[in-house]
Amino acid sequence: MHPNVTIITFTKIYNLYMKRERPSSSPILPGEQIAFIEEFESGKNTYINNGSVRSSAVGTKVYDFKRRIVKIDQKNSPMLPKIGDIVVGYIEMLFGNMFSVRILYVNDKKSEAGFSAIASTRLGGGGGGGRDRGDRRARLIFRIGDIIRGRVISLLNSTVHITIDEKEFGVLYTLCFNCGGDTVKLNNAVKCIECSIFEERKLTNDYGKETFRLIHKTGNNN
Amino acid sequence: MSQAKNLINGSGRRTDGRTADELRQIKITVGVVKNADGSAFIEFGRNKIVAAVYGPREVHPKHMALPDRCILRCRYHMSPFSTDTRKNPAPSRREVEISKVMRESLEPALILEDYPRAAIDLFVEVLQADGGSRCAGITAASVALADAGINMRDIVSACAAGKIDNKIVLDINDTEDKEGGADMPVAYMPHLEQVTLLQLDGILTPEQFNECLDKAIGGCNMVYEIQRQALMQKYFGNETELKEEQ
Repeated sequence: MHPNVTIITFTKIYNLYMKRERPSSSPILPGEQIAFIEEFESGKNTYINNGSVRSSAVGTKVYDFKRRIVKIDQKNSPMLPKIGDIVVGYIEMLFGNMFSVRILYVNDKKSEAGFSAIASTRLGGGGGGGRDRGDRRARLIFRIGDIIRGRVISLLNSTVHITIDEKEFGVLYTLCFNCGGDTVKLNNAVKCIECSIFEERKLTNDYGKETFRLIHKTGNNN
Repeated sequence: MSQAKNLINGSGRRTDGRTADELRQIKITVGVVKNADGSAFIEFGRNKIVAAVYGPREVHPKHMALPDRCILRCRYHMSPFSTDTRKNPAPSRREVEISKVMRESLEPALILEDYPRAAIDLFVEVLQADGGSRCAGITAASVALADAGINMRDIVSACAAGKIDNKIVLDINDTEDKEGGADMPVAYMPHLEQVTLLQLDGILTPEQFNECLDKAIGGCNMVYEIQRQALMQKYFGNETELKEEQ
C-alpha cells in the first residue's frame, strides 16, 4: 500500500474523533424525547423517564458520539452562581470566622435573585486548610456593608461558598467606619480622606479604580 | 347549573358559533413582562391573562426554604376590571383555591430538586375573564416557566370539557359554564401522558365522564401545539421548521 493512503485515512479518523460532539440544529422543548437509554446516556438538562432520555429545557440537542451522552444546549438558563463564577456583593452579616455576602452581580451581570454566599475571614479557605496553619493565620477585618468580590469555590449543601484568597478578590469598596467618608487604598489598608483614620482590609488590586462603578453601570444596563 | 335555554342550536352550533369539538381562538405571546425572568400572555377566546415567573430566588421568609428542593409559590388574581361587574381586588376564596390547584398542577412538571433552598414565584393576573380562566392561566404559566429556563419534565397544557344540553363539548365558555350541566378542567403533560389536574363541577355518568376526559385531553394536545409554536417563535424564530437530523 502506498504510504499516502494510510495518512489520509488517519486524518479522516482523527477529524471524526475531534468532532465527536455533534450539535443538532433541531430545537427542543421540555418533555420531548431525544434518545432511548440504550442509545445515549442522559447529560446536562436531560432526564430519564420510562426508558427514554427527555429534554428538561428549551434548547438544542448535542450528541457526544464518543462518550454516548446526549445533552441540551440551553437557550435561557436562570442566572444561578456556579463554581468558578466571579461574584460581587455586600457583606450582610459577620460571624466569628466567616461572613455572609448578599450577591449583587454574577460575572458582571446584575442578579436580582438575592442569593447569599458565605466566605471565610481567614485566608486559605479557613478551618481545614493545613494542619498547622489554622491558628497562625490572622483573621481579616471586614465590616457590614463592605462591597466584596470573590470566586465561587463550592456549592456544598446548596450554599454558595466563595473565596477572597487571591489578589483580585477582597474588598472592592468601603466607607470609613468612623465618619462614613470615602476611603483610599494604602498598602493593605484603607485611609479615610475625611478623618484620615486607617483600617486594615484585604483589598482587591483594583481598589479605588472605579471598577465597581463600571460594573454597576454595566449591570444596570443589562 | 340549570339548563334554562338551548346552548346548542339545531345545526349543532354553540352560543359562540363553535362546534362541539372546537376550541376558542388561542394566541400566546412569550416574554411580555420585562422585569420577570419568564412571562407569557395568553388570549384564550375572550380571556386575557398574563403570567410572570420570578426565580429561582432567595426565599423570604427564610424558614420557608426547603433544604432539598425549591418551593413554588403561585398567585392567581383577577383584576377588578376583568369581569362585567367590579371584582373586589382582595383575594377571594375562589382565587385562593385556584392558586392552590394551579400550583399543584404545575409542580409535577417542574424539577424542583434542581434548585434547593430557593423559591419560584408565579403570578397569574387575569385581565379579562370569560370562563376557563384557570385552564388558560395554567397554560400561560407553564409557558412562562419554560421561558424562565426552569428545568421541567414537560410543558403543562390545560383545557376544559363539559356537558351542555346533555352533550359533551370541548372548551366551555362563561355562558356554558354558568348554564351548562358540567365543567371539567383538565391539565395534562402531553409527552408523559399524565394528568396533573382534574376537577369536576356537575354530574356525569361514567360513560360521559370518560368521553369528557378524552375530549379534554384531546383539547390539551391542541393547546400544547400552540404553546410549542409560541416558545419556538421566541427562541428559534424561523428555525422552527428545521427537521430532525438524526
